[in-house]
Amino acid sequence: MTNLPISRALVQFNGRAVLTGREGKFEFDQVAESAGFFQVIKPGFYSGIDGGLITTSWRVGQAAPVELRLYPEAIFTGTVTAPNGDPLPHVLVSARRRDYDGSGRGWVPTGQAQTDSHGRFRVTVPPGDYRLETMAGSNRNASGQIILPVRVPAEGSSSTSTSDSVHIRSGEELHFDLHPVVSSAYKVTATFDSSLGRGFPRITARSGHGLRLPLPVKESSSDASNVATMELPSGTYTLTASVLSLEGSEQAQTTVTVTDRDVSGVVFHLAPVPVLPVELQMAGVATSDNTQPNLQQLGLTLENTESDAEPMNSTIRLVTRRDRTVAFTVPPGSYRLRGRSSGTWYIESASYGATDLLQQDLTIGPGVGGTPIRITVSDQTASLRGVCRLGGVPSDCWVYLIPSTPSAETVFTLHGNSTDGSYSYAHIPPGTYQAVAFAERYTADYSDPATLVPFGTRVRAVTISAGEKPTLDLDVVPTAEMAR
Amino acid sequence: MKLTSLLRIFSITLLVACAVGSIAVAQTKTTPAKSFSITGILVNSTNGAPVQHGSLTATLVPRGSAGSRQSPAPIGPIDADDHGRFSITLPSAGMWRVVASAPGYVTQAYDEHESFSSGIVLTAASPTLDLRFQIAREAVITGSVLDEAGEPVRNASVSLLAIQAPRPDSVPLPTRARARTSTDDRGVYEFDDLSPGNYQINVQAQVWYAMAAQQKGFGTANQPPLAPSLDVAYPLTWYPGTDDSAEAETISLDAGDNRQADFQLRPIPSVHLRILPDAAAGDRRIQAYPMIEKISAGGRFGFTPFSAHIDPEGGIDVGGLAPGRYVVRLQGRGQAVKPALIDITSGTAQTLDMSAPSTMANVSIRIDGIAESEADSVRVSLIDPSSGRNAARDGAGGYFLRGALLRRGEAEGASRTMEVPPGRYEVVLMGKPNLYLTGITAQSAEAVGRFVTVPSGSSTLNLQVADGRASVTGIANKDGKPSVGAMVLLVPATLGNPDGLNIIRRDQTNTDGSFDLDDVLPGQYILIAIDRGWQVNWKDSSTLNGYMLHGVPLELRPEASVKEEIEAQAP
Repeated sequence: MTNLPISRALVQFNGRAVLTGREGKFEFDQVAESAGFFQVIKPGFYSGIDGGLITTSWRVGQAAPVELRLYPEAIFTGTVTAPNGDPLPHVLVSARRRDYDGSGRGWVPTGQAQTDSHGRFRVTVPPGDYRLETMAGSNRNASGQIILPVRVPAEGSSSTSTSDSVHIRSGEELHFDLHPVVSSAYKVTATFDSSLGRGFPRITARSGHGLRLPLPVKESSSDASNVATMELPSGTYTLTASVLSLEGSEQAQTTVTVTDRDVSGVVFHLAPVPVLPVELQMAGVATSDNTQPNLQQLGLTLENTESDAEPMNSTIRLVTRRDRTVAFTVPPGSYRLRGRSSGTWYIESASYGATDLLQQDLTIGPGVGGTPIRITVSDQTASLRGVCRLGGVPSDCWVYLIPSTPSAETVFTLHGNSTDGSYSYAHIPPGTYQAVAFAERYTADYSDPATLVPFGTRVRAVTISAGEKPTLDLDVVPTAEMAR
Repeated sequence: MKLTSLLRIFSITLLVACAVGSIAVAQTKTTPAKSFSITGILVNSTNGAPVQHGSLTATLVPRGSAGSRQSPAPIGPIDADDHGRFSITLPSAGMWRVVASAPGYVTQAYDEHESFSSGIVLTAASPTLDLRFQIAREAVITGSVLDEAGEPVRNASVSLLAIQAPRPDSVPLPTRARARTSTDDRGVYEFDDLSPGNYQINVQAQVWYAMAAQQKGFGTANQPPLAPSLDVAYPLTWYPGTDDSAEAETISLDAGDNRQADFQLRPIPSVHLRILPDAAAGDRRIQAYPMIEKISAGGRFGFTPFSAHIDPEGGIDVGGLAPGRYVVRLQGRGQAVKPALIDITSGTAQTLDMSAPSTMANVSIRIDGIAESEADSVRVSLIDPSSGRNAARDGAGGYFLRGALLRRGEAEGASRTMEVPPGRYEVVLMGKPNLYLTGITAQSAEAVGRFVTVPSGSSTLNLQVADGRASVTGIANKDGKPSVGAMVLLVPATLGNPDGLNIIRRDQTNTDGSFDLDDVLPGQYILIAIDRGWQVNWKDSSTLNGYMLHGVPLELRPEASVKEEIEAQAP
């Protein structure tokens, strides 16, 4: 934060717009409204500290002048070079941002750029936690070669949140010199031992070193739709093929070893992906006055906990099947169940056989399925209210309640009343929480205990039982202390 | 050798729809009776210095029968050593297309000129060949795009156009974009991997604050009018800074050149267009969203970003447009996409009434001379001769909307219709390589040779189509030896006569002096070979006439397969 004025930023107020002048100044005259919202936009800046777009409320009588703040974007720069030092032009570099939405987390493609003729790249992004990766592609310097993907942090890093991503702050430039492996590619021809119907196969290759290659599949001819060809460098790979069909997903796994020549005769034996039905029940003590929720309202997802999960498979959502039952279609892997409250109802417990899904991962092997996931909801909630104060003065705030007892939700977020600094949660599950209030929205991985450490003195613990309505006043973390 | 000769004849179209995408699975047969190889040295075309870190591939080129156009998988890449030397061992005799790449160089086939190159012909009698393989350093153009305040313009669309001298035949100039890129956060762009040649550059960009200020969604909300200083647009701007394509500077690049081409964009007041939906068709109730496409002289069809608001009378106010010619489409529920053409000039707002009769040309096309079943597979393109752009494809009223909205069913039987801006077009057939156009008759339109002029409203074109293209193969010699890398031209005897055949076909001789011209339209021609002729300005009519005096006259009948041995002329 430089606190310098920004010229030529577009300030909008209730449908009107002006550009700021040289000293960052702007003016709206003949304002007839008694209240309204400001929004400010400028390429290369964000109005929210976490990279979003925020509006600033205004009321007549508010002290003038209005001060609006912009945060510069962050940028990843670097080079991509071959092992012999030659720059690799036209390589796609992609930044995926860790996204925390309260019920889960994923990697969202946020920026991408191609390297120039010197192998240099620039990817501008909002501040946050990132993975930077180059995409597999053909080498423009040598036809017949492919450039293998590389990732920062390197593939196979530990799955703790501190090392599987790179943190970049507002206004920061991080430079990475990337050295992907460049290799000759050979044609691998595979057949499916059953008809694909109208489905189109998606194939991923994974090498023993954790290298993951999404493969562009070429159908070799239209009359042999159960044949797929792909290109791979020498090595041994586990190939996973997924096909979406009318009956549901099917998946096949096989291994292939490529040694300096084309390979044919690979066979995929497709099998249905396990389907786990989901059942809903009410807790015994629940009163029936409140309209009972349905499963789709609980935002249930299964989040893949393997750090190198394919981005497309990282979050599995509920599907409603033809017979109106609700289920997860789950490829083999390890998952964490996430969900959210719906109105007065919260997820009290979730189980799969003997596994407590609020505390343990769901591990699915091939060929299982049929066993239901049982979700129990309850409307025996509590409420919590209080006032946010910044330097002793009631203040606009964002309140975050982080459960420390088992919960399907990682955080309960609330925007306080900007007029008097008050906040009020009407229905929260009983349990123990850490509570913190920020001056602005603060998106972070609240399932990671390290997230709250910098704000230690302002974090309050609170235990709430069903039916209680305690009060908890919070000391707001000011914007200046939120910069990451 | 011209690997893509079939496509090249239609290269003026943007629709290289032929099955280029399918890669044949070729299992090379082993057991070579002899050892075949191509050796040589890779050198810089400018100074002859050996090229480092080069690599090569060799691909067998099927010759003769038209059925074997599928190209086999390439052999390689084979790395050249630090002195540029290479040696490629090959499994068989035949004609090989050898392609070299190296960092900082343009990827090229052997002795490549324009899109032609020489195939390396190996036989049992001459199983090896040593090449001096010249490749050109890539040229690069970089630059920045700044706005009126000197701040970078992000995500500006920068197009590079290859400019070619006009040809004496009727093949339109392919001024389509050679490459397109976007500016980065600094407003910087780069075009690399460029071959020597002549280029022009243009920039299309949005005024970010104008777009942001108007971004209120497609609602009926009553918005206060935008301040004039924010209601602006950037015109399509040509280097070095003009909105007139005739004043665009042509940048000449030699091998290895590094050029800078910077832009500063100046906003102009945006023009507003008020679209009145077709009330009878019920557009007003469902708030159809318009699609607006700019037709620029650069041969570009691009959707234009704009802002739109519905006014209380149900009209759609479109802002943010720069002057130019646009096609506006508005689709109501269950309706066909209905294009309307409008020329937007600077100044006051213009109104487009979608219920008014369309100003587009509605062209019905009938195909005669071949079986109806065969006619179904023929695609007809109308090519704008000034831009080389395909104005329309038949049967594809909504060709820009793939999938659900695509209007189908118009190409049933041997009749189909297409909607294009009124004007003069060249009629080009696609789909069946062996077919060719022998004549056009028109109702409510004008037809001269392969060119038609269609007015607003309905018109009909009857295309007479025949089957059976011809081919010419042969050897070019010079002083009793094969002339390698010679330019071969097949010039229609009727060149210059607007009613006659007007397409000049070309090829480059291979290492044995051989050449192949496939899919030639039947007619009378003069065949010419010019030894080391790639610097000859054949596009100049009097120069060409000088060579034609010593050429070989050929009469090609349908399906004829002619072999000619000719003497290459001195350049």
